[in-house]
Amino acid sequence: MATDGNSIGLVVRTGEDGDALVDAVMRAIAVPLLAADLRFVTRAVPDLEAELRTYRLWGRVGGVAGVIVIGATDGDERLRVLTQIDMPFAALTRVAENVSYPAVTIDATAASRALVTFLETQGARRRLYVTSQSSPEPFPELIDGIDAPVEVVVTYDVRSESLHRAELASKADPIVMVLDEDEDAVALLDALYERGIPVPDAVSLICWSDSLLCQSARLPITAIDRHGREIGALLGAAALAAIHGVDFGAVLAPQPIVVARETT
Amino acid sequence: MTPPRRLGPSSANTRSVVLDMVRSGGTVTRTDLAEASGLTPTSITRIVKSLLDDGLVIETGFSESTGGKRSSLLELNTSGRFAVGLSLDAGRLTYVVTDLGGSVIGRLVSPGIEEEGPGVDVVRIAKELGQLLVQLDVPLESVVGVGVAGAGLDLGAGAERLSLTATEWESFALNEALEPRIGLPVVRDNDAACAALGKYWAGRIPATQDFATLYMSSGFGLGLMVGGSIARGASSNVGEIGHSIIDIDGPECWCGARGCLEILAAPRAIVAAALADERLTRRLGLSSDEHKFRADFDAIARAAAQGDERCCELITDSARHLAAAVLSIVNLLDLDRIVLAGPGFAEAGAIYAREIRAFVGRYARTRVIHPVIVELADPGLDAAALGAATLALQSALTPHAAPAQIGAWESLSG
Repeated sequence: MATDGNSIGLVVRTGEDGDALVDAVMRAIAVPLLAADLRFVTRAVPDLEAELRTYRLWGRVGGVAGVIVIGATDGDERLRVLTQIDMPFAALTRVAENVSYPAVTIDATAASRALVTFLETQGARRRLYVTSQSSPEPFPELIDGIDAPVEVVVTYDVRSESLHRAELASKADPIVMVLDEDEDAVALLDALYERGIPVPDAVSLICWSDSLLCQSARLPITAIDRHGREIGALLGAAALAAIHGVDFGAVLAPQPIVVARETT
Repeated sequence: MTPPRRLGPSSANTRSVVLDMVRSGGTVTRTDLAEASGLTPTSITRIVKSLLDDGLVIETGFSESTGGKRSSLLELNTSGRFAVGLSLDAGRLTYVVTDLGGSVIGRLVSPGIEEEGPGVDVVRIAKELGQLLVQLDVPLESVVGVGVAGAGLDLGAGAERLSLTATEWESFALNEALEPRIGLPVVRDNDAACAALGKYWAGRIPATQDFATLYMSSGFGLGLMVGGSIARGASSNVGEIGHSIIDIDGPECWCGARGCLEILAAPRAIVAAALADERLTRRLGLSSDEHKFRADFDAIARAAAQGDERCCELITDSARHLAAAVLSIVNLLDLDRIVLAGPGFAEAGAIYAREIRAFVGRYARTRVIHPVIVELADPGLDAAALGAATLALQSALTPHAAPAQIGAWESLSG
């Protein structure tokens, strides 16, 4: 039990800490904590076992008053361990989860719905590719309703594959491309520029996660703002509620929106 | 192909250079090292053995056979040692702990140095640092050192003159105050130089690519990487871009000159302009508290990023002044890459990047020869802390590349 600590802790899996949304959330969490004269400590770990070890360590050595859990689910082993060591926690969860602790919930379908709605408002009916290291749920189901040929490409080599398809497509009809990562989107934009493929006339480009990189690219990139800052601020407040035993409930995160910029 | 780097076998820095070759090479063989360094296989074998004995390098397998005996593959033992970077900032302190490869394993964010004096803050820093290492399960003896990034001048002999926002820190000998409290060597540099070094090390930028990092916190600083090292000048104070004179008839700056970039375009100037607008002050809920000007600046920058017209004007005006200063640097040094880093760019960095890119693209003398890439470091808030950790790593691992002031550190070879 470490509720006398002066920090709120968060464990992030290695690899996720470079994600634009996670970075934005983590940056924003600190703001309400600092205002409450608390510290914010984070630990990068490779897997679940290491995450659980970290919680147990924090419970043993003290200094951490409570933790924020990312992506908690029903029956989550992490929540069981935290309860076992009497460590207060708040969590970021999906809407469908059964929540009995301070939580910020995310509607997993909202980003996909926002994108589909945005695509439907675009006058031109273009072929749409999604290049991603993993298929973004539930996008494949939602795009069935789009009045345009659609292909979802799952590849580990996002940059080469997306550039290859953009080059092929630019010789035929214009296309819309959606990329997961901001760095990949910026790299594709640069590559298209170097090859003289006009954006957005031949290739429209949308990034799944908005970031400063998207906003400051050679052409500011249209992107989905998933409100990482607001989610982080809410999580910070949820953590404060958890350590003070204040009722917080489950607060729904703001709905994602597509921020239209110069690549569409 | 890069020509081999000829080294004298008796050079005190030979081991340091070989270790740096392993770091930058990823996975290498002893033969690779001999070819790249120009040292004899016998010398390389001896140096590699000492690196293996110290746990800085590990053998990870064997190369494919080319007919003879297969060579052992060598890599940096990333979990063998750790380094701490600390960014001293008015708004917040950011601690970053990295492994030998520069990967971040943990962070701590705590209140800034805005309100307490250095005597109080140093005690707090020592306590927070010790607690962080315990919470990350990092033994003190495995930490090679602590790098500290802060704004302001290096006065030498461990003393420094931090920015005008923290006058109580003037001439405070941070290294001497902190080292005995934490039992670790401390090395300090300005935040802009640290951010540049972090970008170089973690971004695996080749030593042949010179670039500058423009750092905005309460003021401005410029870190300049030349040939894989930070340019230092006569007193380790390269990069005072905040006191470039943009308008010779401009307002008087606290440094004594007129029309400096800092007095025209730094966050404090933007906040002052916003506070002169009562309606805007009310609408954004600006505090007008001197100690909270950074929070006020963030609110203005955030509103600008969200399209607020008046805030866009204020930020764009700041960005145009900054762009003029950057153009002078680009023309002077023939740079082709500028990295924008620091908490000042966290909210409206895109506006700054756009203005600087447009201005430099339009007026740089070298624009017909090569483009100038202007990019935002991401994440902006950790750049200086990450660079400070890199500084500590570089000081311990590759002192041949570290600045003279920290060259006195003993390398890990002891």
